[in-house]
Amino acid sequence: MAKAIEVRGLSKDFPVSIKGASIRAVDHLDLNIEEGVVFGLLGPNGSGKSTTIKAILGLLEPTAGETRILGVSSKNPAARLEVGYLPEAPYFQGFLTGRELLSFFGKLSGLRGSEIGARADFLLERVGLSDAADRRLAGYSKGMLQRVGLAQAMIGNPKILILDEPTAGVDPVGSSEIGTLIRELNEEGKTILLCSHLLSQVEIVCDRVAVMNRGRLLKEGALDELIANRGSDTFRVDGIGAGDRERIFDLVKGAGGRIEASNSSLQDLFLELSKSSEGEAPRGDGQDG
Amino acid sequence: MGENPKKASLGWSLSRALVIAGNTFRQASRMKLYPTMLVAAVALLASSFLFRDFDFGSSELKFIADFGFGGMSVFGSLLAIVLTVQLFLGEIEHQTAITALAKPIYRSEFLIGKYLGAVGATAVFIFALDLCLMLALALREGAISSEDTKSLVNGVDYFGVFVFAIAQVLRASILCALAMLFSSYARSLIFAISVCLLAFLAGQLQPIAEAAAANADGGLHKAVLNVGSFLIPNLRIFDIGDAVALAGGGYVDELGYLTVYALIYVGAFLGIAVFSFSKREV
Repeated sequence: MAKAIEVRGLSKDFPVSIKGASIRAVDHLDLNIEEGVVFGLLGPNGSGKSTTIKAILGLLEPTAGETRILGVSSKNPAARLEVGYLPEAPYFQGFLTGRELLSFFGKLSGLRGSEIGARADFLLERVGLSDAADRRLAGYSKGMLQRVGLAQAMIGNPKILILDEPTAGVDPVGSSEIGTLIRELNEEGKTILLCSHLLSQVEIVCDRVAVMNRGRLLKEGALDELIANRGSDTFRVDGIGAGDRERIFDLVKGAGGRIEASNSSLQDLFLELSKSSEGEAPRGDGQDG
Repeated sequence: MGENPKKASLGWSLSRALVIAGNTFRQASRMKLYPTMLVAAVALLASSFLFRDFDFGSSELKFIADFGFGGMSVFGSLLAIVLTVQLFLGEIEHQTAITALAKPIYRSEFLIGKYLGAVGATAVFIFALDLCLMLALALREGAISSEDTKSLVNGVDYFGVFVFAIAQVLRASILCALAMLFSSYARSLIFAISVCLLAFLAGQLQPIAEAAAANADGGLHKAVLNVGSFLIPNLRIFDIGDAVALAGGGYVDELGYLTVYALIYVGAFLGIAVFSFSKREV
């Protein structure tokens, strides 16, 4: 499969107020996202996800390494012809109506004439904002802003969608609808890079995930494999009776082990990786590390 | 995916800049600052009518014209600075620029679009004031001529009043470019507006520096004054009210010179702004 997004040896340092010192936000990151997948980029706050996305979009200059979209360097604006982006906590111009916003971004994406109006109407309908299309964005709720943000990301019908926390501020029903929309878009052939803290949703919609912390890639792979092959002493046991279950508990405890009932999930993996990386040396201090 | 040549052409580039400009103009027209300053400027102009009871004769028209020119000049310049900083740096500060910059556009297109939108909004403001001034002059000219035709020595040169407005738009275009330049690297609106206002003041005082450079004996002092007076645009040359207000004429050549003068500074300031903004992380 062709590569939709490539990140090679990406590092990004931000200067701090102390002269000459810097903080490393992303540290030698390598990622390959193939076309047609839903790729989840996970990590706690400050793990470097948004910096990575901004580097992919060419919004900031990497300290080292490079990023490419469909083979084109992110430094070239043409790389963004096939990308739709929903920023984290989207701040849109409150003086515009939903329809005007889509028209503006449609024109910037290369749409012209009646094509813009038809596409805007279609997308407003798709994200459930037809009734609010002519209201100013200043009056939109957080959830409505996320929806109109999704619509603007899709306005140019791009091959790749980069969605940074698309469900932030959206109620559970809305989150579920956005999850369904992401799957539908993927079935239409779009590649989706999804950053989300809603791990249950990531687990449902993503094919592959990468877990980051402190700017480093901790784990990357197919979701099923990552959860299944954790190399731990956790076992999922199904289809046994209560008596057998008790015997297993007794056996483990008798052997001096520890046993508790749990469901192995992406959340377990995420917490385990995040905790294990917390003990590592702090980032930054002005050195390339 | 290779670069789409159609979308990388100069025509498309201009088209994208104009899309940004159109949106910026709409943004300006919906800001509270815009109508507030327009109302304040019109109120200032209207206040000149308080002096109508004085027997000025034709100099009453000159007085009204000077009042209107002053309002146009001061309010136009202030609006150019504050509006441009708000429209450009404000978008970066409030992170609304990120979504636009994530589209397939060059930063230079974004910056030029923002500039054109800001200049367009300022120009509409200046021409609206100019129209109000012409109306005020026409009203008083009609009244004075019907009261006492002998006292009306010189009629109003309305084309001259229009030319004055064009000169103010040219001055505003320099100030907008200057505001873009400072906003391209500034981190706060207050800082950018303060520096722009200082630069505006320096531009008003530039002839003094030029005269001082001419009279300096030489050496480092003269060199510094020469460089300073070269880098800072002379904003006083756009104050052509006396030349154009009352049946003047012969100002077309001057307007040509002002246009070239403004274009040189606008080009230089925008060039530096584009370079600075291309290095900025948003």
